[in-house]
Amino acid sequence: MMTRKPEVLSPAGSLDKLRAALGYGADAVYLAGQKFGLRSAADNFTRDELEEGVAFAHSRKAKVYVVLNSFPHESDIESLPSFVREIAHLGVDGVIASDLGVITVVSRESELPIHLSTQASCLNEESGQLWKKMGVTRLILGREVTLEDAGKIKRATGLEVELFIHGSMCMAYSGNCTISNFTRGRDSNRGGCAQSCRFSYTLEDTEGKTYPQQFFMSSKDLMGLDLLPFFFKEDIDSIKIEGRMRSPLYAGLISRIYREAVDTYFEKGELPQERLIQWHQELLYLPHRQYMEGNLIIAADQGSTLDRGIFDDQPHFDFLGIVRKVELSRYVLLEVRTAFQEGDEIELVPFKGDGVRFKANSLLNAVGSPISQARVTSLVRLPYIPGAQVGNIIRKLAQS
Amino acid sequence: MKWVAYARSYEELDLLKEAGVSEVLLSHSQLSRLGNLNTLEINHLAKRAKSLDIRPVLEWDVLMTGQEFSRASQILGELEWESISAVRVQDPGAYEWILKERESLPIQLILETGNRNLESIQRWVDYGIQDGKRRVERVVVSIELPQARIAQMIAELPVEVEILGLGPILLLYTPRHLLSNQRNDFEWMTRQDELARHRIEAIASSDQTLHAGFRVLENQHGTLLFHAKDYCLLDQIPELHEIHLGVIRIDYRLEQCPPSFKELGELLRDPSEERSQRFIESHPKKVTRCFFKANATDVLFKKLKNIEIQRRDLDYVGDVVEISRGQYTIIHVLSQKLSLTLGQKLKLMTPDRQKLECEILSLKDLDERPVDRIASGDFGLIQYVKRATPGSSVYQVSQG
Repeated sequence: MMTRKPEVLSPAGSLDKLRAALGYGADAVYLAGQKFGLRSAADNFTRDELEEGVAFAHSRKAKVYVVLNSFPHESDIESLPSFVREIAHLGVDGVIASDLGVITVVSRESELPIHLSTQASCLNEESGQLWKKMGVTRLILGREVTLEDAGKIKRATGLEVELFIHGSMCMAYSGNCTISNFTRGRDSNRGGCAQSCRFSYTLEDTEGKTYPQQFFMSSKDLMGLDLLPFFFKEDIDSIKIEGRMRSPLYAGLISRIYREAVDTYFEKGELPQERLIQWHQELLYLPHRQYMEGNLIIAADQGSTLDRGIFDDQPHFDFLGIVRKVELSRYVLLEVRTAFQEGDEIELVPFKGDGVRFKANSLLNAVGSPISQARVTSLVRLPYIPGAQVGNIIRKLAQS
Repeated sequence: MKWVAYARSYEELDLLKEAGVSEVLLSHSQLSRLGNLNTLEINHLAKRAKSLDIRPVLEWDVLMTGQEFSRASQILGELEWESISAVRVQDPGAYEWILKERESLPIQLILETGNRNLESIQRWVDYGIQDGKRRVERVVVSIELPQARIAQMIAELPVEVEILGLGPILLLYTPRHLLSNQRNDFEWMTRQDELARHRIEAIASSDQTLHAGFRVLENQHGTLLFHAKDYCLLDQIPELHEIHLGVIRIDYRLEQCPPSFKELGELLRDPSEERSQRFIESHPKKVTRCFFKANATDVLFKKLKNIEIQRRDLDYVGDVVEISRGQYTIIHVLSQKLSLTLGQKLKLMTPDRQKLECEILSLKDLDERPVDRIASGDFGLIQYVKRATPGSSVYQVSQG
């Protein structure tokens, strides 16, 4: 009998993604303000958006963690105290930090719980003990730590432990890569990572022989779904999904899959095969590189490296749009993100339960005039779908 | 200003002594990323160094998971600590271990990863105060810090500051074996002598600008990727004296032959442009001083996204979501605080950086019924606004 569930923690690169993640079942989201995060290219949250996001999350009894996990220079850190006071005032539920200066400022300026970012590469019990004394309340362990070792660290430190369960992985020990800094003039540890590890490289050995281009530094993506029972066994407090730069479709569907998996395992003590097949299929249709189980069971090494193209050339879900309005018995208003045609087979994904598949017939534009094609950046009225709710995602299975 | 270098043999130790070195670094193959000495050699070299009145400092700079920490602990148990004058560590777990297990042994903290601000470094140093005594004697700071910041740290920190003076620029550190991962493609991995020494080298180059000539070294600790050029401050010795730098480090472990210690010693004691140029020209790699004069690795961030469509909180109403040329403009009211009202003056910021102004002359709901106000979350049709595009941000023009 399980005593408690791990928190499902999802990425929220924008308000739309936050609503999608929480709507589809995440217990908590992590997001960044305009500074101090590691995704400078993401939308990130303004003060008002953060206030809205926190209110939305708390109305669903969900939590919001703010990432402050850059390694700030002296000039960056000057504005940190006021930002910390502000987010504390807005009621966020914790911060994610890696720099000891940031941790010191957060401790001084607020009583916010501090989660140690994976950027700090906390890999062992002794390190966990040190961070505990520094005031950290949760360890987001380095991605090189196995589940078994994570359990040991949790028991040894008495701290909450969070582990990544899904998404892109750094090839380096997190925080230990500065390729972008020296090649692109963009500080990877202040949000400017240029993904140099994802390029293909020609290798030349010491005798001058060259070998074909390959992605020798590019990591496969993590998929820890099948290992969920071990997360329960080791009493991991939070399972984290990477992907603040991904779409609302990704934020929503990935949250839904892990929500269902956690609830199912909690209730039944197992992950039924038919459900696993279904979830796997869904995960295969989301944007991803080759999947692997990372280092959750065996130490980081063989099998980490991508050995074929960037993204799998397979069927995938197209993100058609988000339901913005539901007029009872009349129509569902869709904000279109990917164009589709009248007659296309599309699917509304409800927050809970099975998807509703239907042919996109009788398309109307925003004001009710017939159209044959739903254009990107337009509003389209779909015939009323019982059960549809604002924030639902509509998708289409596309063949590559 | 002292200089320190790596001693790998009695011969090097003697040459370093002759060149005026008062401290040497000893790198154990199990504890140091680039180490090549075994326990016996460390013990002997440490004793010999002491007999020459040189401080032997043990380098323990690998990052370790729990299992690796256990293996390291075995080695640590075999070391003759009484011969070792200090230990330098990077992993916080190693720092914690030394504080607990080797009372009174001076500690040198490697803070080259992250730790770009004084608050952080000061806290790391303070953590090592035991019974009122400071255990940390030195911090090794990042080569990403510019001269002015290094000077500030030297002035404000209560311990010595060390920086790399000549040596490889580490770009990436991973525990994964990225070269032997490709063993099917790489003939050299079949060579037993390479396997036995756990050292494989290659040069990696991509088609991307400045991503060429990276030196890749794989050993038992994983893979290290280095910049094509070496870091060098040997033409900046007077400047380093001026800021009262405590220690400069010379690292030649990637080179087949060490530099002339005699010339190096003379250059550091009595720097001249001619001497430094001669030394640099004889160095087998091209050199760079990277960020020593300035670090502007955050200035490109503003170009990573279109800041014109980045929401600004003040007076924000919502976004344009659809345009019907000559007919209408649809605005999604996203602000929780403001609404759309007839007669309201608006400013639109388009994604292509145009600033448009208009007054709402006509306001309708999606059923094209005239209304006076469209509230938060809903959609309003206003007249066609020439040059506006979907994605434009809509602001209320402030009164007065």
